[in-house]
Amino acid sequence: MATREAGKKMIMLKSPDGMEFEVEEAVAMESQTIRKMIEDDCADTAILIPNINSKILSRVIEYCNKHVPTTGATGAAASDTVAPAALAEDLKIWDAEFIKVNRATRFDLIQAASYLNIKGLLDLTSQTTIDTISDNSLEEIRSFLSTKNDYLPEEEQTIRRENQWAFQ
Amino acid sequence: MSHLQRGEGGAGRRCTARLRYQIHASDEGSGPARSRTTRLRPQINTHEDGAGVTCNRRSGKRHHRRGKGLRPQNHASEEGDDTSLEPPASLPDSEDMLREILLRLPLDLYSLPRASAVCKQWRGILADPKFLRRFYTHHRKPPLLGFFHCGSTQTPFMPVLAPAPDRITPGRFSLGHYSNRILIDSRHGRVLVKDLQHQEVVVCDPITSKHHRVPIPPEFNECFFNATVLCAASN
Repeated sequence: MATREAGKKMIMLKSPDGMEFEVEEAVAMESQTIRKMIEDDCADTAILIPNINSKILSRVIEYCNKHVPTTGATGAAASDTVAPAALAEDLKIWDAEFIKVNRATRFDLIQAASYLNIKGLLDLTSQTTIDTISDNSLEEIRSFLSTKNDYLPEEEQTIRRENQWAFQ
Repeated sequence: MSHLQRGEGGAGRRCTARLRYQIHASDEGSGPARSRTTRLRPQINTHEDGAGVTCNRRSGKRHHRRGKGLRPQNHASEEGDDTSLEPPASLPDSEDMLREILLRLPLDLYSLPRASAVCKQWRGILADPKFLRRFYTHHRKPPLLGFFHCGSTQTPFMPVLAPAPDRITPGRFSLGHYSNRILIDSRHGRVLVKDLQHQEVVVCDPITSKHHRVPIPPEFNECFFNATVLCAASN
């Protein structure tokens, strides 16, 4: 990655497939997991991020770069002349584009956001998943998430009867 | 578990039942349920015209593959909402992740019980008190579903949520039938009814239709008293 200007501490993140990502400390600290490592002085050298491959990790870093507070975000939006509301709207649009990924990638992003404890990314990925399935039938949801219906027929009947009001 | 508690300064306070008792879908919306064709969000249009029109909007403009989104605020991307063409992808085998996703289920009356019918794992998560606490914290405030109108002979439920699909149809919730009753209190989604005919107080949970009857202690019979319903845990 390009060398950043002096004064900004850089952190090296390593994916299990051997890729290294040099990111600003502020960007890396969007992850509460990494923040804790840094605050506990466990991040002197490169931090290995287990279970998150380079493709997903690069997307996560892209997200953190955009969402890091104040300046330092990529793009021209992080200007002092931009109103906070406009900035928020810009982020919203950016998020909507960012999450246009296939299902497998989105699930990987959820897993990464969960492990790295990045609330905004977890909100975005999980909410998008729920929004996608909320209006689907139960069968469609099971198919979408590759989940099997493991209820016995009599159990189904009981469950349905217990909350009949919700199905009327 | 509900229990009754004698209200302070209750003596001499007769017929203090308010006209309107508010019901929040606060803590019982999580039971298990299943339906063959049930969606997490009901697609019944019950607007002011009262007509229950089943909608299956396959002609959504924003969804070029399967237009099923009822909610205009659904920002699911064109790439992300493809449930038909893309091969199924399994969630990583992590219940924590599933919890994170289910935490974002909409806070309406139907989503939790309906989602419970997907599979046993979902039901286990959605019925877990710890999860429910997080769920309600995440959504902050339960929706106001409506109120009971204490009429002279009947106590009809008056829904306030609109528009569909969250609006509850009148008659869905009932406190039971009484020849002579007073509404005493409402809290935590429960309504406390004094059944004068049987000399009992009834803790009604309109959402689950469960009624818990408690005989009025003999020492209370000779006087007017006040009471309130409290739940040990709101979730």
